[in-house]
Amino acid sequence: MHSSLNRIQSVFGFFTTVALVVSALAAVSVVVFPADEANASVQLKNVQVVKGRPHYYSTKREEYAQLRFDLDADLSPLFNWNTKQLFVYVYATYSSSDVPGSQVRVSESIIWDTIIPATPSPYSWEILKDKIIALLPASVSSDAVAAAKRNAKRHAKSKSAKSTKSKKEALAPGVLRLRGQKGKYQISDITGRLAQRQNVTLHVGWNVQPWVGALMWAPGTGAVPRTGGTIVSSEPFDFPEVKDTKKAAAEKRAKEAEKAEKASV
Amino acid sequence: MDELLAPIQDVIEGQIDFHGQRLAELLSTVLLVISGAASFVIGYIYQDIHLTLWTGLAGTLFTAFVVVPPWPVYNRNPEKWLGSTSANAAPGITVDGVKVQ
Repeated sequence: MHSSLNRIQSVFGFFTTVALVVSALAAVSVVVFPADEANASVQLKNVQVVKGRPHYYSTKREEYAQLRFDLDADLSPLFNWNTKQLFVYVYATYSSSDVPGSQVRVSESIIWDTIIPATPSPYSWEILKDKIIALLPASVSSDAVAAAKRNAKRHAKSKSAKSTKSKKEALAPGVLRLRGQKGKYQISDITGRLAQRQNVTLHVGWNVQPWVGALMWAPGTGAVPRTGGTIVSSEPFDFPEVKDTKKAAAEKRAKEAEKAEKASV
Repeated sequence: MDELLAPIQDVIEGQIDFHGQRLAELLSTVLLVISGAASFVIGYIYQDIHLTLWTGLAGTLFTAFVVVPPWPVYNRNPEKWLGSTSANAAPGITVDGVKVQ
């Protein structure tokens, strides 16, 4: 403590300790927000199995399951002061074997996902930066300043727009209501056969990504640490038979016609 | 050159006396602990972790401002160092054994 440099070092050194302790407290504080009221339920709307290729030049034709589902979820209790964003996904579990009644572990495939960011804080770095740059005089004006001014205006606008909107709907993010939502990802199998696979169920899962602390999983995923909440999975169903597309049917007919022609010649 | 550089060196080194060192140590610890606790409480009350970040950083900068510069309050008890034996023997300025002043 005898010289300035020495004092800078000791202040910074103890600051790192304080920062660590405060972060640890913030990370632990999420136990105060158990989010037991969070709920999500998913129902199958439509399923079909079609033939396709993994990519354009592939000669391998395999079966893909395309699912549509209804999702009702209120995940707003998962948002607390330490939540950065929420990753929500719908996944299907199905028998890994095409032998009925097989005891192998079920496969899990994510068919749809989304990221729900927390409501942006007025004190976040981006918004504060734009506000401060917008305060700069025009003499130092440049494209960056002009852009920041536009952004600052937009922040202000979106704020007022949100406040008028909030009267109509909930301000908290995380409320999902999807009808007949098409899956983002199709399910395929290493065998290339997926039709009539049995005991398929749709589930909902999520990851709560905090600013500091541990990644939290949804109940039912089996991972720790996990949040509270209830998840209603869909009724078990079976994949249908391969659906003949119009094009495939036309091709088949053309081939048969060709064969018949050859036979007649 | 030395007369010129010496004050600059003093300012940069910013030496303080022993009592000042104890005070600076105490102040830095107390202020940082308080700012850490305050930042957590403020962030928790307003439910915004960005406020925790900014209050914590502001508190740390304030602590540095209070502790780092050699404020006069840290130099109120200067140590009375013993001079060299020659200086003690004859006060005043002696040049070649002849007392000038």
